[in-house]
Amino acid sequence: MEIKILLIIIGVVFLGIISMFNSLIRLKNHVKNSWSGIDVQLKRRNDLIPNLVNVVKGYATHEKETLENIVKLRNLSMNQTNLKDIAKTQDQLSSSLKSLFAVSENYPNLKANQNFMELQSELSKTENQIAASRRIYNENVTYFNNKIETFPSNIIAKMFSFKQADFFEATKEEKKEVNISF
Amino acid sequence: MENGKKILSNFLDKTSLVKPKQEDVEMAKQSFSNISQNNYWDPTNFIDFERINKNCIKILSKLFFLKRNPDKPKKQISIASLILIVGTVGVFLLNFNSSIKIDPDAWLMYLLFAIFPLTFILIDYQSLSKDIIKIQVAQSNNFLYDPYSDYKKWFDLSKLYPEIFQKGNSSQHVEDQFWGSLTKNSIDHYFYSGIFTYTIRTQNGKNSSSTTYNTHFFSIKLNKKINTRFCLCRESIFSRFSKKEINTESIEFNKRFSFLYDGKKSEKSLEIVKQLSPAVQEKIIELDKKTKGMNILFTQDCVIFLFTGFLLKRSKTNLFKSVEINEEDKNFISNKLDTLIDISSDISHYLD
Repeated sequence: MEIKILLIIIGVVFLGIISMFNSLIRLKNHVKNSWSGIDVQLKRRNDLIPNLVNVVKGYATHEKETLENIVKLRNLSMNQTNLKDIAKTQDQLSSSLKSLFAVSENYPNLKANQNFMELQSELSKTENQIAASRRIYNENVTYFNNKIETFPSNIIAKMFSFKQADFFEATKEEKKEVNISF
Repeated sequence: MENGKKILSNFLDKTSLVKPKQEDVEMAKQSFSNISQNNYWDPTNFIDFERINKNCIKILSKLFFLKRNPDKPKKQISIASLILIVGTVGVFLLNFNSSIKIDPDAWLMYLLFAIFPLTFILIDYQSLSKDIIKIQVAQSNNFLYDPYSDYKKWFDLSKLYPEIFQKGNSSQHVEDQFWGSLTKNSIDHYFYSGIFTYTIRTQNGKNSSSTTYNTHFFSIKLNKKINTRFCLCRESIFSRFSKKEINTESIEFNKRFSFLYDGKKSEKSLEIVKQLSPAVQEKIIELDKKTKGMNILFTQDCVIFLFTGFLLKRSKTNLFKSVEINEEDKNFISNKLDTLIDISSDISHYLD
């Protein structure tokens, strides 16, 4: 009788471990999945930038520096692997694009260009998609990290060496650097 | 049954306590500006402008009549209350003092008849104020509103969207219909909204029972067609579809909704997930939080949001106190509609 009870307890604990382990794996996969969501949107933006630069070049000759900066940041972001670095570069790129769209107001011919208007609309949609996928990613990271830190799943996380995921955000200092005033 | 409902609706209309005169009708006609057919969208491609015009003028003429006779509701409610008080007191006095024995059922019938006028007046004025509020909201936003039940529209909608409208076995109709549009980022977003009411009657031997359900639907036209048809559900109301697991990248989204669709998962899942971009998922979660739960049907040319009950129901207006529409009521309905239009147009924007 006692052995039976012991076996039942062991069985329940074992099932609990399996369930918690699987839940951690599922959350980890969600984090990965949501990262690929960001990646898709970032790639989409990187693909749109050369077209935008080409259109703007023809009209806004005085904005050479802004355009060069955008191209530089785009190229830099394509080679980065560290999450914090990517976040920092992306924030800078977003700000540079915003400033480019702001200065485009000074070039009526550019503003009226059909290609420019379409690219602007596409880029603004993509920016919003990036922001949304970024929030989804960070939300998933919060779920995952909470699971790793809270009892009893923290024991399983330690046993199987689950590590906390990084948030996709620039540090406070980096955010300050990004602020651009018009 | 449908005829019965129509007869009842006609009866209530004819027995309405507010009987506008010709001059009220003329004033209503003047205040109700002519509506243009180009500004609205309907999934059935048909809007009965003549009917809507007639219905709105009928309601507004009642408002003008009441404005000319502001004491009318007070008088009517006073008489009905007096009948109730006299009736109740009479029943009790007779019951205690009279030596004549009267059947208790007869007393009950008498009391019911005494309550009837008061109930009738309250329902009539409440319904009138509800309609006036919505007509005024529609007028100030350049929307279109039909205050009366529409049986034909239900029939047409049930052919287009059987998942939603082929429900119940009697009294199916659509009411509280709104049509309108919103321009955002220089793109027009058209919507159509209403309440779908249906009754389920069950016969169990000699006993029969019936339950009436109300579903608020809000549809937004997509500017670009999508290639798939599926539902996002909190509960399995879409019996036509089978439930198959699809996960998006958002844990929050997966916790809130499950997917229902026809066809194989391998064929449909990619198309569905492609439509639900991160921004769309975020907006859906936002709307879900604001409306405390909803189901969504994605079709080729529109998205339909479904909410249980009456989303636009609210009445602080008391026509017995004064013949003025409470601004809070108008603002409440305007704000609810604004939220729905705003978020759904964003969803449509990101789906396009």
